[in-house]
Amino acid sequence: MNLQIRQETKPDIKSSRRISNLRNGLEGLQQLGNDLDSLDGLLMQLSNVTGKNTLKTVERMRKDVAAFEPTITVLGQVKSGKTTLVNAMAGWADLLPSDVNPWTSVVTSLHMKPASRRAETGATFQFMTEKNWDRLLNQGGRIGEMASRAGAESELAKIGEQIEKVRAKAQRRLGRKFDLLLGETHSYGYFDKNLLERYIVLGDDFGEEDSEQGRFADILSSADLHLNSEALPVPLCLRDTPGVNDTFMMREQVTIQALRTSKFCVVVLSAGQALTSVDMGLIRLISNLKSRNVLIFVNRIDELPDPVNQVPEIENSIRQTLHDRQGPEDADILFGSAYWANKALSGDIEGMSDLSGKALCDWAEVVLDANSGKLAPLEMVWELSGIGHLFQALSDRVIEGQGEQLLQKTAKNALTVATSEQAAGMVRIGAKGAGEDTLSANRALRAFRDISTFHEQAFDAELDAAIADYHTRADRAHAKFMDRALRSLLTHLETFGKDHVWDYDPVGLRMLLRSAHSAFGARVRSLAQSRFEAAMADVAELYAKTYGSAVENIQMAHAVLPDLPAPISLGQTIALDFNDGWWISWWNRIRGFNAFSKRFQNLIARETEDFMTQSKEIQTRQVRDIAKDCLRDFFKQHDEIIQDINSATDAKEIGKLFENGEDGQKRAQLGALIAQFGALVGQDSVDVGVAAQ
Amino acid sequence: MTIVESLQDTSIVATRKPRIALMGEFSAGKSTLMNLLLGCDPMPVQITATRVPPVWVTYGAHSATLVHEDGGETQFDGSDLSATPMQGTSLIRFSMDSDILNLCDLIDIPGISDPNQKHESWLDLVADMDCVIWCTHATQAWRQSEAALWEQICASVPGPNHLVVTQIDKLRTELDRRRVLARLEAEAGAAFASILPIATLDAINAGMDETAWRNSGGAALIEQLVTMLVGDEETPVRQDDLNEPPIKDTQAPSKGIAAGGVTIIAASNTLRNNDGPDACTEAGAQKKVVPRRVRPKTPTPDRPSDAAAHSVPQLDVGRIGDP
Repeated sequence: MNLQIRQETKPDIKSSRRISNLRNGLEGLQQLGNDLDSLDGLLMQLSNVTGKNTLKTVERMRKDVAAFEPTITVLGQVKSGKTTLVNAMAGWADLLPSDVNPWTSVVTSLHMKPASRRAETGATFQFMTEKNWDRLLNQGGRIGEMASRAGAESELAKIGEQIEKVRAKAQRRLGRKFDLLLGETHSYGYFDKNLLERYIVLGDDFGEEDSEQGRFADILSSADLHLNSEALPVPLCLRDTPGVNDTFMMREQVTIQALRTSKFCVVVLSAGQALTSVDMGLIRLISNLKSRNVLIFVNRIDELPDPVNQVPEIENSIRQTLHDRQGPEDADILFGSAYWANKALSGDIEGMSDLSGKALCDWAEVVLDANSGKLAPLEMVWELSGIGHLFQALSDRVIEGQGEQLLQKTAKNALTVATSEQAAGMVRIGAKGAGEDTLSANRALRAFRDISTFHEQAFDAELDAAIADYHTRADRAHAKFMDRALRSLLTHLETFGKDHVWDYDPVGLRMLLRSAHSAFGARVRSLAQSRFEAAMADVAELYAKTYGSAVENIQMAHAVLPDLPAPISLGQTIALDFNDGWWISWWNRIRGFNAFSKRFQNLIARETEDFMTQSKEIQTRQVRDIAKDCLRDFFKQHDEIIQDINSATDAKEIGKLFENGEDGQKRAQLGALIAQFGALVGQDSVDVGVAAQ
Repeated sequence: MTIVESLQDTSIVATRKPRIALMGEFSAGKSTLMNLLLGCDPMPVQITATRVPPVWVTYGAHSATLVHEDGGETQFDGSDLSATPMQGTSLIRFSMDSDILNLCDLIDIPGISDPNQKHESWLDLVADMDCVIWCTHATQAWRQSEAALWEQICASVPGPNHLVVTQIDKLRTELDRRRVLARLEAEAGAAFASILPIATLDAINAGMDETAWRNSGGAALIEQLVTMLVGDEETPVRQDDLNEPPIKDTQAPSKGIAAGGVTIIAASNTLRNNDGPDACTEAGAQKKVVPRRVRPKTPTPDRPSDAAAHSVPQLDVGRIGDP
C-alpha cells in the first residue's frame, strides 16, 4: 500500500464566482439536499433517545443517508467530448486533461461533495489484476457486434492481441515493478495535474518511446478522485469513460464493464455526426436500463455552421432513427456545447474561435428569452452551453429514481423506531391496558422469531415458484424464436439461395425475454407486497398481544421493495447479431435441409446458452436476494425493537430512569420527532392498532 | 507511368477512365469534397446522414439515370439527388461537364455507420473502383468502424488510396493538428499512400485567393490527384485542365494547415520508400509532392493484419522512366 499525504494543493472546484447561474437546473437537487440534511439532523436527535438495540438501526439509516451519492455515467464514442462535458459539469474547466487524441483507458470517477459536507480531497488509483484482464476478453455484449461493425466477428481476437501488446509494453517499461503493481491501490491525499497525468493520461503512444508521463495509464483499472464542489447541493459521482469505437478496442470493453453498475447514463453524441450505428449499439446495450434514465446530450453544437436550423434537423433525425431501429423513443435529447461551458468557467470567451462565436450568437437569438437580457456575458454563455438543462434533466431523474425513495424509506423506518421507543416508554411505566393475556418478554421474542421464520420460508417458496414460471416462459420464448429463425433461414435459402446475405434480427428474442423479465419483476413485486403486508399484520398482532395498548401507536412501515436490477445481460451479443453471412460456411458443408436445421438449432442453442443463463439464473438470483434482504431487514428492525422494549421492562433500568427524571423529557423529545417524521412520511405508515386488525 | 497507362499496361481495361470513389463515415464531408472536386454542387449536403444511393459521376452532357436493383434504368432530371429513394435503387448514373471528369470518374459512396442503412447495397461496386479517397472527420478521425471496413475492402482496391482528413480547421491549434495527424500516420499510414488534411469550407470559399486555397489544404489534395491521374513533371498539368485555382508553387509549404499536409505527405513517402529514415526530407525542403514509389507486393504471412495493407499498392504509379 502506498499511502502518501501531501497537503499543498486543495483541489476544490474553483467555480467562477463571476457566474451566478452555475446552479441553474440544480434547484431540485438543492431541495433534496436540504431534505436529506434535515432528515439526518432528526436521526441524530433520535439516536440520543433510542434504546441500545434500535440505536443500531438508526446508525444504519444515518450511514445510508451519508452514503447517498447518485452516479452519472458519461458514455459516447471516442472524441465526442465526454471529458470536456464532465469537466463542465464539475464546474472546473481543466480538471481532467482532455486531448485531441484518445487519452485514457480508465474509468475515472469524480466523487464530489457539496459545500455543506466538505470532505478530504484525494485520489485513489486501482491497478489491473489478472482477473480484470481476463474479464475484458470474456464478457459478452460487444458494441461492434451490436452495431454490425465491419469485421465484428474477429474483434475479440484483435482485442486479445491489443491487450497482450499493452501488457508486454508495460512490462518492458516497468520491469520487475510490473508484477508488484498488479492489483495494487495507490492513494494520495491530494491530486494535481502532474499526478493525474502520471496515472491516467496515456499520452501519444507513437513516435518517441515513453516519457515519464502516463507511466501507469495502461495498467490501471480505475481512478477515483474526491473533491469538493461549491455549486453542487448533494454528493454526486460523475464517471468519465473511455470512448467506444476506438481503434484501441480494449477501451470499449472497459466502458461496457462500467455500464453494469450505472443507473443514470448520459450518451454524448457529436453534433457533426449524430447517432451512428455505433451509438445505436451503445444505446441498445443500455436500453435495458429504464429508458427514462438514459439521456442523450448532443455536444459540440459550437461546431455547427448553422445551429439554429441544424439542431432541429439533427433532433428529428435522431428521433426518427430511434423510432425506426426500436431504440428508446422517449429518451430526452438535449443540445449543447461543453466547449462553451468551459469557456464560460475559465472566463475566456474572447478566446473562442470565430466560427464558434458566430454559432453562439446565432444560437443565442433563438434560445435566450427576454429575461436573459439581464445576464452578464459569461452567464449567457453558460446558459447557452446547455449544461443547466442537462443538470435539470438529471436532477429530475435522480430525485425520482433514488432521492425520493431514500427519503421516504428512511423517514418511515425512523418513524417506526421513534414510535416503538415511545411504546417502550409506555410499557416501562406500566400502562399495559388490556394486558390480561400478555406474553412474557422471552416468549414474545420467541413468538416473534417464529413469525419471521415462517414468513421468510413462505416468501422463499413463493419466489422459487415465480422463478420457475419465469424459466418456463423464457424457454418457450427461446424455442419459438429458434423455430422462427430457422424457418426464416430455410425460406431464404429456397428463395434466394446462399449468395444473398440472410439476416435475422434477434431483437425479437430480446423483446420476448424482456417482457418475460418485466412480468417476472411485477410478479415478485406483488408477491413481496402481500407477503410484507402479512408479515406486518402478524408482527403488529404480536405487539398488541404482548404489550397491549401501550404499543398501539407504533407506526409500522411496510418493507418496500427497491428497484429491481435492469436485465443488462440482454444486451449480450449472439451470433445472429452479425449480419455478415457467417452461416454460409455451414450451409456449404452440410447438405440437406434437415441435417442443416438440426445443426443450426444446436449452434443457436449454444450461442444463446450464456445469454439465457444470465437472464434465467444470475438475474433471477439478484432479484431474489434483493427481495429476501428487504423482508429480513424488516424483521431485524422489529427484533431490535422488541429487545429494546423487553429491556425497558427490566426493573433496574426503569428504576434508574425514574431516578434521574429523564423520562419525561425524553418522551417530549420523542413526541416532537414522531411529528416531524410523520410529516415527511404522510399517510403511508400504519398504527399497530390498525395493522393488527 | 500514370494510373491510366498502368491500367492499359496491365490491360485490365484499356478503354476507360480511372474511377475514384469517395468513402467514409456519414457526415464526414464526402459530398462536400465531391462538390469541391467537381467545381459545382450536384451532391446534396446536409448535417444529418444523406440517404442517397451511390452516385457514379462521369463526363458528358447533363443526364441522370436511376439504376434499379433489378437492373432496369429510369432517366430523371437529377436536380435534387436527395429526393432519390434508396429503396430499390442500386446506383445513380450522373453525367455532367466538369474538368476533373476528363481525367476520371468519381463515385460518391453512401456513408458508413448510418444505422438506417446496410452497406451491402454498394459492396458490389468495390470491384469497379480503382482507388479510394477515404474521408475522415478531423475531430473524430479514424475510428474502429472506419479502420475495420477499410481493412475489409482495401485489398480489392488497387489504389493508390488517400486518407483525407476533413474539417481540419475544427482542431483549434497547430499542435492539435500535428498530433492528430501523427496518430493517423501511426495508425493508418501504412494503409494509405498519403494523408491529406483539408479545411473543407475554407477550400470552397477560397475562390481565386491562392494563399487561402493553399492554406486550406485544397492545393495539396488536388495536386495529389492530378499527379496520380496524369503524372507529374514529365506529364505537366495544364492549368486550364482544372477549374480549380492554379497550383503553381508548392515549394515553401505555407504556414498553417497545408504545412501539416505536406509534412504528412513527406512522412508517408518515407514510409514507402524503403530507403530508411534518412530519406525523410524536411517538410520545408520537399520540392514537389513526390510521386509515390510504392513498395512491391511482399507477402508477409507472419503478420496477417498487415497483409491487406501490403497488397494494396499493386500499381507502380511512381516509378517514372522505368521500363
